Amino acid sequence: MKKILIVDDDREFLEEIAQALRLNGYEPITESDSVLAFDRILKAMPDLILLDLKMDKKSGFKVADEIKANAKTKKIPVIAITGVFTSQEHKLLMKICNIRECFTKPLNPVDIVNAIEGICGK
Amino acid sequence: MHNSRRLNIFLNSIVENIPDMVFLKDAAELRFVLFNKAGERLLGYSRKAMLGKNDYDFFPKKQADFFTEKDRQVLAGKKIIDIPEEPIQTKKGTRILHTKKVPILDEKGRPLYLLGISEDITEYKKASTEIENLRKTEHGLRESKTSLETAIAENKKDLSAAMRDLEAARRLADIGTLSASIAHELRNPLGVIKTAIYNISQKAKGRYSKEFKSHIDNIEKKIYESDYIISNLLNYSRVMSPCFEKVLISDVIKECEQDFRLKYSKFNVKLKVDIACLKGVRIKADRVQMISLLSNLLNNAYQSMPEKGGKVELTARRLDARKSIKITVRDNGIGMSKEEFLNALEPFFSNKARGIGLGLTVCRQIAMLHKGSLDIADNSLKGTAIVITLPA
Repeated sequence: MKKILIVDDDREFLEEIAQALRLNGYEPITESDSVLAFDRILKAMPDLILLDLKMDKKSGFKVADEIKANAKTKKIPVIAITGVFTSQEHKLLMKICNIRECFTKPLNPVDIVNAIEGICGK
Repeated sequence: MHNSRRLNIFLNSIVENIPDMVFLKDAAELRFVLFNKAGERLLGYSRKAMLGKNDYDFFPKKQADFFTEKDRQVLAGKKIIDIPEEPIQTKKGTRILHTKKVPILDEKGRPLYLLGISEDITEYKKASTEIENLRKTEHGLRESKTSLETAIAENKKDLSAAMRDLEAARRLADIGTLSASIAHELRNPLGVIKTAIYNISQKAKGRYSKEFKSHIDNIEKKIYESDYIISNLLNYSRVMSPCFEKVLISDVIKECEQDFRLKYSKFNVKLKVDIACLKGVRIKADRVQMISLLSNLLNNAYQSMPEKGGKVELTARRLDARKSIKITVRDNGIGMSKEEFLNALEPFFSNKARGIGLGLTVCRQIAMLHKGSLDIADNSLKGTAIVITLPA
């Protein structure tokens, strides 16, 4: 079962998206504190990371940058989720941070599941 | 004899003292036989120099001809002639005279003399010309005053309009900033609701009643609507400077069509797209804005349907010798009058429960940024047809 780490400071969103992934046969791990996110990634070594870009303590772009900078984590694919930006506006930043795809809230869980399946399979 | 001499002196002195020029010419040769003091003063010749001479001795030929002709006319017609205005060359320059010429006849009615009485109206004429000029000036001044007042009033109007626009712009900018942050904030909870609904329906799959499904559908529909409002708020508050590229317009329309079909797959909406004439047509446009424009129109069309269903048609035509394209989005919903349409273009105006009236404002803004236009089609058919034209 593929391990998906979700980083978002909205606890209810974490709960619901984790549930949606579980329903689709994935193993979700959640982290609501952006400062602790990178340590959590190192420990869990997930198959894919779902990352909120706008979080209060630390921006998702910074977390993505850390993931990219670390030899152990740099190959873990990252999918961004945002309520703020559109993929069009931050295309360049996402490319720099090695973000594979970006979904705008309110997202359709089916789209996320399809994207995850496309990147790392079931 | 004594008496007749006295009478003669008396009459002479009357003639002599009349302040107008009085002269007498003999009927045969029109030579001066009498000339008074006022006449001497006016013409600048002494009566000695005048008596026995005719007009040709004193005046330029053209003028003398005129006088002579008038004189002959008077004598032949045996009637007084009134010449209201005639210029005359004197030693002191041109004077203007008002002259009456009177035939004096003998007892058998044959013309004997021609009596002339001329009033020098030069000063009077000058004064009246001046009065006339003054009047004209006064009239001109009055007109200038009126137009100045109008200009001032217009300026005032322009100024207050500009100030109103500025105020509105400032207000909109504030509202824009505020609404953008509200929109962002709302997307998070909306995301949770959407995912939660997905989870509920997944968990209840195959077990829920028709009624249950209808509740879920309603929630999903409202999520779409909220999302639509949020997108428009963001679009509106964003400074829109289009990023132009050559865009295959049919691709953009197809993308919107697919998106629309996907979004409303659960609802009973029929979408008909006829854009055959746009095959291979590239226009200078901002792709993202074009998608936003067309999606908005399609969404509006859907929103206008009172029940959860209806028909939407998107058709295209090429105009102006292929220099522009016209895209029409027509629905069979509740319809919209021209007035409602104009109102709907006012940002943050809406008489609908749904939406806050930003959709059309954003659409029009995009169309105008692309040097195109957006209007409502005049027709009495049911529903609404919005027409956009864009340079191709």
